[in-house]
Amino acid sequence: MKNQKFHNLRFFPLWPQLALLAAILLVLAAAAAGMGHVKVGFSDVLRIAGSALPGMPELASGIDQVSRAAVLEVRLPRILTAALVGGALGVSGAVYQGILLNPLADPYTLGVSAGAAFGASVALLLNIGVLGAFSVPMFAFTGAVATLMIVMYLASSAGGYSSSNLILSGIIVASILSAGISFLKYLADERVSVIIFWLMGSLASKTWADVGLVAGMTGFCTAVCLYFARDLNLISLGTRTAASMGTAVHRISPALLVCVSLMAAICVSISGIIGFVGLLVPHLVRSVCGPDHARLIPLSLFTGAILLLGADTLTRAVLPSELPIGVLTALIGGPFFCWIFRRRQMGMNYGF
Amino acid sequence: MVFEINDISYSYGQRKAVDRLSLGLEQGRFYAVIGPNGCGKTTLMDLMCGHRKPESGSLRLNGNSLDSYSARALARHVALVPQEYRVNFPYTAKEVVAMARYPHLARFSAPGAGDMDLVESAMRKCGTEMLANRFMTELSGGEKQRVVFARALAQKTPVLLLDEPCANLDIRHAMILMEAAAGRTKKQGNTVTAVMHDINLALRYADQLILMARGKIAAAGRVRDVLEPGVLKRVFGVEARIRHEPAINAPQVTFVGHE
Repeated sequence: MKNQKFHNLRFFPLWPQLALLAAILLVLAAAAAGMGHVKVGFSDVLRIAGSALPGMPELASGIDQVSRAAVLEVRLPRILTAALVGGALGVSGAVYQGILLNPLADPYTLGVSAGAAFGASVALLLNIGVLGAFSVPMFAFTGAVATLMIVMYLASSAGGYSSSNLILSGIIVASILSAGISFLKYLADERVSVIIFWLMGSLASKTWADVGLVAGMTGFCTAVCLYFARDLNLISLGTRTAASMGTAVHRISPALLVCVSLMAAICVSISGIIGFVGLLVPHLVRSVCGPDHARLIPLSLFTGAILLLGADTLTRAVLPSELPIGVLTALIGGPFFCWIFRRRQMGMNYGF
Repeated sequence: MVFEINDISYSYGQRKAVDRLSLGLEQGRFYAVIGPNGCGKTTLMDLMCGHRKPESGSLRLNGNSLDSYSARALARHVALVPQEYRVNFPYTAKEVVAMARYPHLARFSAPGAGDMDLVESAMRKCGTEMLANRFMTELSGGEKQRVVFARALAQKTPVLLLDEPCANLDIRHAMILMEAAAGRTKKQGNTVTAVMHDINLALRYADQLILMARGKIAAAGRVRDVLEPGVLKRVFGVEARIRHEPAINAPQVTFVGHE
């Protein structure tokens, strides 16, 4: 028996791994909250965060109001949104790959991003402001959900949803929409820069309302996916196998796809299109911890959160000028993906 | 009667795959299903394991309509070895076989020692114990097929459906798996239904023969009652000679020519 197969953590208990990732995430979040134009020390960040909890305002005594406002009103919402969006993209990527039996699927495979981009472009072009600051996210979300419904409708057949039909429908609808977006950009003239900027994604100026929205959606959808973790394992072996082993595939697969697509749609409408996180994170986790969804889902949640928070902190506080987060994740994630893909081709990573 | 199949039909668009088919399966028997390509054998397996629902007609398992079983309950009664066993994710062989216990476990409870015993003994019976920690993505077609067969055994169901279980196997492993299935009919009184293309292999282990053509049953019954050159010519369009092979105490067929 080859012992090299045991280099990964799949036989190691899950809870210590989750605890370690949670600790990394907390330290990273606290460190990120201190970075930026106004520097705040690590312990001050913790005191400020603690002072926001009810009954403990004296924790932050002696810390100036500017630091407190910077951390509580500007940085923490952005940091939490980044972590939640990254985690949500990681989880939905893992579930998409499992259900579509395709390791190349990502949260945008069913056209969610193209739909959101189209919706946002319409709102930006027509300068629609009926819903105030929520106008663009609302349009993006509506576009994403409408696209998802069209793709599911196109792919459905008497025998349910086959993964190749879903992927093909997603590609067809997304290419129509991307032509539509090009047309909107052409019409937009001087407003074209606003559209382009939105499409590249940004986590700047997020509010506590955004945090609440993404947190609620991510928490609920992740819990649903975890509940069906064993069914996902069976589904990832193929629909016929899953059906013969006790999973009502015809109901559970589309229900889970809608669930994670809604989660991705919320993320896209809040933060714009952030590529590669949803593709890369499940790959990374699977290669180290195995493909069992009961482990893959929670580990992808934390890994995605750490990666996107790290990337966002890099562009916000480390780089000399702020790069759009979607561009940064693609610039880092793309070559990294090429590297692990090549490692697999060379037979160096068996668990991938 | 374990399975009563009454007048079921199923079509893909305009093409009828199963056409008003009726069939009864008795407990403790080994049924071999043979028939030419596209005659509806796999669709019949799909209908029997609940993956597809018939457009008309009814299936009854132990006297109860198949619809009255939840997917999980059905998976405790019927296991399937499917034809395709491509696995895109790096599960180990043992992880895949252990999934057979899911229908017997509460949603969040881990498999116990008894479950793992069943998993290991099923893997031994299929000669896959040395593959236990290998990744499914790295196994050859035949090795994967044996792992999937072990999974169906570990599901520990009274009914086993095998859809071309030996398609990629060398003859030794084909015999090992067929013996494991035949042993389940004799020792545990399980019912096995195996779709097979190798007629001589089928004749060696099966006591009942079901011949299918164009979505219908062309002939069914005990091997010695059903098997004769006329029916093989009608169903497959081949000339065949049948003789009794004393070494294995079973009939064997020599194919002489085709239409």
